[in-house]
Amino acid sequence: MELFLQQVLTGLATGAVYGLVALAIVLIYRSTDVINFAQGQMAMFTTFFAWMLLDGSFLGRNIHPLHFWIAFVLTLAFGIILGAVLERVILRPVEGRPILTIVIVTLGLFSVFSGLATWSWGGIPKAFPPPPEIKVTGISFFGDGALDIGPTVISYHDLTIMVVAVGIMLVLYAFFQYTPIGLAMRATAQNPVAARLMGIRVGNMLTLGWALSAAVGAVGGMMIAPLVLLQPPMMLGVLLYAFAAAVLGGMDSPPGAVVGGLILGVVENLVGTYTTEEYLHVDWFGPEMKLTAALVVIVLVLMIRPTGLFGRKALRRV
Amino acid sequence: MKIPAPQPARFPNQLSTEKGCSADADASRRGARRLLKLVALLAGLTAACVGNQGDVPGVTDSTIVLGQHTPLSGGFAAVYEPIASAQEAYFDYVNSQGGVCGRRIDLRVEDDFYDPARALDATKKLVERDKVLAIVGGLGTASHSAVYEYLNEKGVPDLFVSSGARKWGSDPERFPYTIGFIIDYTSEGAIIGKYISTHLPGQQVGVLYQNDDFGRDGIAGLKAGLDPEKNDLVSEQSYESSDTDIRSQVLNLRTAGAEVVVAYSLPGFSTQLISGASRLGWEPQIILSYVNTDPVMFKYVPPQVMEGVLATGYLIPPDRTADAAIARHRQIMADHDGPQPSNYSLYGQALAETVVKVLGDTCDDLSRESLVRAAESLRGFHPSVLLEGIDVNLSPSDHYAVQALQMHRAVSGRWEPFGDIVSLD
Amino acid sequence: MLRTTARQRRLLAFVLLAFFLLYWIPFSNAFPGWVPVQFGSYRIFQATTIAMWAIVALGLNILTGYNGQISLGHGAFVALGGYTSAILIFDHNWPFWATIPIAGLLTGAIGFLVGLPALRLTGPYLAIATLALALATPQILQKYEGLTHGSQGINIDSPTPPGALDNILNDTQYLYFFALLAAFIMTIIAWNIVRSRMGRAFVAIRDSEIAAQAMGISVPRFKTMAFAISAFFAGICGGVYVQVIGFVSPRSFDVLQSINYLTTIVVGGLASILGSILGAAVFVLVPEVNSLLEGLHLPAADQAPDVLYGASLILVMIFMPYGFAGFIRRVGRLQPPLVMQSLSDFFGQVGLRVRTIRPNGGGGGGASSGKKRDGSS
Repeated sequence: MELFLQQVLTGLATGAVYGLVALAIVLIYRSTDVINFAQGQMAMFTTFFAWMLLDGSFLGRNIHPLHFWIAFVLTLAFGIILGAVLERVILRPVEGRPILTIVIVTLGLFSVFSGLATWSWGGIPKAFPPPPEIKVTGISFFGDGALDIGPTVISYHDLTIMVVAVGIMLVLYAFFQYTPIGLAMRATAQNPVAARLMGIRVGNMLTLGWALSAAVGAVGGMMIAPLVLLQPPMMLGVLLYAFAAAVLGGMDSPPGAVVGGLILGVVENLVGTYTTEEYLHVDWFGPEMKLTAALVVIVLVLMIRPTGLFGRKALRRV
Repeated sequence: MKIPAPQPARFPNQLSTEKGCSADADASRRGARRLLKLVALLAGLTAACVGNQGDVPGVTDSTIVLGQHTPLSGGFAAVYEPIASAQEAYFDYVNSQGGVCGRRIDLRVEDDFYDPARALDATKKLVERDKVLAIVGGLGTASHSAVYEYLNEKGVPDLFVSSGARKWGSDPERFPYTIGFIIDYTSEGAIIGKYISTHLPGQQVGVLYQNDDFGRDGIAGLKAGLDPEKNDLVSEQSYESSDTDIRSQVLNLRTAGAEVVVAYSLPGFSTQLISGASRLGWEPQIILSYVNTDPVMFKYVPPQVMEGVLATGYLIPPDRTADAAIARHRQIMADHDGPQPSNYSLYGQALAETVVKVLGDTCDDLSRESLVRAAESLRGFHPSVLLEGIDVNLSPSDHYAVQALQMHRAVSGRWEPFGDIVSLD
Repeated sequence: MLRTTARQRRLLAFVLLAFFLLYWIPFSNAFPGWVPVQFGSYRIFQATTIAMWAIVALGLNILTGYNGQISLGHGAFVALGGYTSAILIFDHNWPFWATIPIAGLLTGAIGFLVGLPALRLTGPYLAIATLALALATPQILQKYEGLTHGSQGINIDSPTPPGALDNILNDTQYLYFFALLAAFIMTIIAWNIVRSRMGRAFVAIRDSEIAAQAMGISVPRFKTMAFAISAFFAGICGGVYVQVIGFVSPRSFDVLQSINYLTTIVVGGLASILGSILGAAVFVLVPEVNSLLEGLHLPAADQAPDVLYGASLILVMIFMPYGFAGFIRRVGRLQPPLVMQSLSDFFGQVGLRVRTIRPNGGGGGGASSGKKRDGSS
């Protein structure tokens, strides 16, 4: 039982990571209908930027290494600018083109960011420091310690990632539901023509969508990097699971993205633990079939709910 | 618009329109134009073969041309890039000293995208267009698997494959031109297994392995090397190279009661194993595969946490700057545009040194056949950057170059080799 | 000026193409050195791989370009076909040419089964589900090592000319003709499918499922047929791949490959036979561009491949949104604009959550022409 609980908890922690990146994907999809394949590499790129600041080697020149949170904020700003610039310069010329065309553009961005990162910082993995511990009213966030919940243990870093993921999800949800700009973004996604007629600056909404998504991706990257090593292919695995999570939860639902991520994280861990021969007594399935299990889960869920758990059904009037 | 002169109607719907064409003639003209464009496109994209025609491919009076396929783009390129760079730097150094056999070494590196089909394409290009003397250091198990049969068919020396698969040296009769370089993962696993049974008898063993040929070969070798009377294998945990984290696997290893954990994993995941175990307050004896024996590991895991971790290795630690061979390596890399010193750069130089040695042995009779024979005659050749006692030994029936390892221990932030050289030669 | 009819011009073009493919590519190397544009054995090999990849491109284009179902997992089908062929040759000593149709049919059957659950999925959901399929395939291939020989893969000897042809063709040429024949047959099949009632049904479904259904087209039947057909093509491609490359492993057809197939047909031209073939040519010749640029010795030439590849994709999509085929068509003013329109309208629908009546009435394809993302028209 103890093992089960611990695996679930660890799965939630990993799943929160998938959820964060899935959030970024859903953000862009909600506002522009584009599946952004470059999401992971953009997050990786911004994380390298943060590493540069933390390491004290900005663009080849030695500077004083910055405090984590200052670097964090600067990286967020960098991410926002990066997202906005990408939308204006690369995505704007292909507005209105067939969706597959735009998807290929994001694939192109994928390669560009991979190459740029390797060129700028090399291929040898780097260690990325975890955020320093913050104590807020006695509760520790980040840092090296771990929290004991009954028989299980969860590190503060993992706990904080979960809190961050859920927090961003709630903030975004509130943003879209209750703020004028959020409303404007939803309107733009739903019916650009009508939105424009209502006086909404549609172009700005699209830019905002990309900027927000890049920022969320940056946060995700900086949260994940301390767990794995920082290297150009760092986000590849996460990206695939994040897509799966977004689809599982519903491509237009931020809460769905996070929930989908959590589910996938837990399923992955449970399959890895409980499908060995000693438990399952078969040899045609096992822990090395984790990805297959994830595939089956996704397909099953989509059979029952074709637009994901929380996705809204597409109503078509003819 | 030009209006054509009236023509007898050949087809019922051939009408004159303003643009002077009928729909039918239009379509077929466009069809013809389309086809011709396709033809022109394909023709334009090709160029005539230009090879350097000597009697021996790849050899002129002033140069020796060698070829290599390796990933230059895609995610893995970044990781393996130092190997190719180090070789280029070393050959550059040798050329600056007058070259070998009075000729410059010209290494042509082709991108194989870490894909077997592209690797075959790249290799064919090197062999048939660039007419290289030999392929050296072909990188990647899957990539090279698509290539080595072709090379043997064509009689092209396939020297010092950069891959830990067994197949390069296991059948010298069928594949006489292919020679491996580094010890294969299965043999390494067996060495680790024997070490455990000799020095850690009675302890329960768990394995973390990457779910591909690297990890699966390793675990197979480990099982072969472990003495079942002395050690029980209590847990086998696998991970995919696309996985984000392996905390689940670490947890399972602990729950199974493993006291020794062998890790056939890449540095990113070995790091997680070591840190993860430490965070759980669990202290198994961890033994890593030689891909991890790099000083950079101590940047990923604090030295005090790494203390006592074991690994196998065959290279002189690159941070032993007092060592003459390492100092020379650093100098060469710095002077000739080489990469930052690391295990990968050392490996690259070791490979390059062996290539130069083999070339040097055939100066009187530079040909593909003699190259292979010279390689097979290497006995006790010691590349400068390998640990003392580890040599390259080859023969017509032994196509594995380096078959020895030494155990390393993490001590105060460095890898320290200890104990005997274990050799399978 | 020579007076020629359209028919004569078409015939001439056809003859030229046949001459080029059947004679010039395989045999030009035997000519004296001063003859331009000769094809050495390496170039013949490249042409062989272009023919090979064209097969899967044709199949995927039928599914995605003509029928509108996005698949990011076709590598799984190619792997299935490749392994079928390899296992039959290696373990059961079948002659290579017999394994190809079996590979295709088996994969086609599996494709039909995959197409069934796919009926419920649209747009990005289908895309990601097929992506997950591509991810799971290497794991499955590795797990059942009794059948597939596991992570070591299977090495096959490429077919060599039988005794009768031994003096006329060398190995490279024989392989080339084999691949060319396969590609030719598959192109004819694709051509016929696209121009048949089934092909028209595919396009009708793509443009508006509801309208198609209203006209009596059985949407489920044709959508699964499309999957089955494209899987069949992929399986054939896999079988050909095994003969040409001589090696398969679980990692030979990974996610990146599957995504590459999609890129290939988009860059080549969706819903276009010519586009599939051009796409395959571009796919194979990409490294040539890299070599060219490396020759210019730009800074950071090591990472140039990735950055340049990505930048080229972006540029091609900006300037040639309908791919090379679309560009050629536009330049040759071949297609009436209406077809381009419906293509654009359809793909504007993929993933779109339609909630309201479209401004110009009608569902699906009746959207306002040239609808742009930012709402301006």
